[in-house]
Amino acid sequence: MSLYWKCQIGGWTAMTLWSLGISTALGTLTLEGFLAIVWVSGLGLLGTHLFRPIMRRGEWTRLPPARLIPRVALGIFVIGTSMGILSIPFILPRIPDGASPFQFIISNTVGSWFAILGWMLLYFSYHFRTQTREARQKEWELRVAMRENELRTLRAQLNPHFLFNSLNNLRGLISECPERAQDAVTHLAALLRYTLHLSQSPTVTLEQELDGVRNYLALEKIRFEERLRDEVEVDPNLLDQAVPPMLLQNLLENALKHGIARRRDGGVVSLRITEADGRVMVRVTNPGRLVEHDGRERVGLTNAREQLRLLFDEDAHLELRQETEGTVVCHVELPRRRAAEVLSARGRADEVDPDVSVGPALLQDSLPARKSSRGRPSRTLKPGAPP
Amino acid sequence: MSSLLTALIVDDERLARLELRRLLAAHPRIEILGEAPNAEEARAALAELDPQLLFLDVQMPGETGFDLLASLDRVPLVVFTTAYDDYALKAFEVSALDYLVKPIEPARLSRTVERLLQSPAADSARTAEDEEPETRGPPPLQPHHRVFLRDGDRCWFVELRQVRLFESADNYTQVHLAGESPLILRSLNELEAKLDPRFFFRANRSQIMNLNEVESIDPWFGGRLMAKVRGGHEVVLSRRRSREFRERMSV
Repeated sequence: MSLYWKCQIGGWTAMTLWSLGISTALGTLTLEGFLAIVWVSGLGLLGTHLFRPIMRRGEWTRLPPARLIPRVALGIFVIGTSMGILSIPFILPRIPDGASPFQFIISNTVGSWFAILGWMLLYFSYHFRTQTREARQKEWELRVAMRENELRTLRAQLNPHFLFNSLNNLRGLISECPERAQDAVTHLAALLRYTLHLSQSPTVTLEQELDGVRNYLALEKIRFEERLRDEVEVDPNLLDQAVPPMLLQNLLENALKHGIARRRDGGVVSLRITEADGRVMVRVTNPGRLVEHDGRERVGLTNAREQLRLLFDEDAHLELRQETEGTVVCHVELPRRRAAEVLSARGRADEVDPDVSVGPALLQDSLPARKSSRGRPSRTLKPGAPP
Repeated sequence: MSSLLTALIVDDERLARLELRRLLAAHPRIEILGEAPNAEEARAALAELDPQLLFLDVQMPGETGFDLLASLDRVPLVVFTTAYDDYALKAFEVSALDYLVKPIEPARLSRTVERLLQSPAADSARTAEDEEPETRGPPPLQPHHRVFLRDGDRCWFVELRQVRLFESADNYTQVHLAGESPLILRSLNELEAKLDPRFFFRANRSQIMNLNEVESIDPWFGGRLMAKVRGGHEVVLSRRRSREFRERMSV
């Protein structure tokens, strides 16, 4: 038997027994009275049971109080009054001579209203409790999903292949050249710190990103040795430019993976950042040929594009092309924006509408990360200031 | 037991090779014959030094470790070294696959070395050296020789004795093992030239059978023979090959 029927039968039985109890106590219980009480309870059960589909179809449990209360009141009135009217044949014979039948009919109807009110209170409190529990469960599941997404993002950004290769080279370097090994540990620590702290913030300054890139290149040079030569050239006026975290590192990783790691003699990877007509031009070149159908190459660049879209909407472009025979260039064009401006604009937007991030792509800059990132860049935005 | 395994280290990163060499210094029964930074030099070193064991990095510039193995007629014992739980290693059907993750744990290396020194492949590789007849060119492939089979994304290390039947399919050859039949990019004629005919018998234009896997030989129509090879393969020998088979058996 379902919980609903248990409650229905249990409730109306209790109601019946209670009425019988009162009648017995008053010493007025007769066979007609007994039948009347059972009849009224039966009507109550029938009335509420017939009314239930209406409430379910209208999804009353999801209505706000302002719309729910009038409906429930109407329901109580209709069911209770029907019960009152339908029990008239049982009441009339019991009315003492000379008494007004109306008084009895009305008091009986009012009693029915209260019975149905009680029924409604039980019904809705049960459903509201269940709903709250479900909502809490859902919220919890969403939270877990967000955490998992964050972890996945972090793991992708930590790049385990790179990390373990670096650690392995470090182990070799410790016996070969302890001083270089010490340097390498410092680079690795700085890079990890950067990845953990800033990779989830919506934007960093170009200067911060370049620090990350320098650490990254230093570690890759230990791995590739003379096979990797790098040229980094950045307009110093652009150091406060807003860039998505890990953008340059992703581009360089891509360049190294396709331009250096696959070539026995390696080559030169270059990074040039300049300003032209109020736009920021980023050029990353690597030796090699562009392979059109290389699905894996696309993954890194798709991420980079997505990052750019999140930060600059449609105002940034990324293009990969074969520049000359043997040189692949990745060209990124950004609007000239200072990181501090982007962050403060973002901060305001967040305050206006804190629930703006709902899509999976936006889960990356979920609230805790955003909070930590907001304060951070302003500190490093004054590199020239004397200590 | 004074067994010794000769080894070659193949890794594109110098520091990684140095580190492995240092770690292997604790294992005097592994004798490192040389190193190679890429597949091409590894191939030359393998031909020259003929090591029993190969420490092989999966990801290298140019050809990968798998490409190297697929290009070899026979492969030594192989221990893969990889920086990260490489998805490529999941391609292996054989669970008896050795791989070490970098940075390599000395204890894990010790266990691997111990297992390698006790593996029958290490023994047979040594004793077989003496049996091989003096011939010009590379010696023919023996049943105990290990080969690397690659079919699409899946890979197998098998000893030739595990192969029941080679079956021609255009430029490819279907290699019938117990349960599985990978398709490899080698012609049957190429294979025949490399296999030892004492063990692998060319039955007809499209099949080479492993004589140790033949369950029965029966007369067939037109003076031919029909061999039943384990695994339910029925191989009808051509007229000429039937005659040769009879002569060989009567000797």
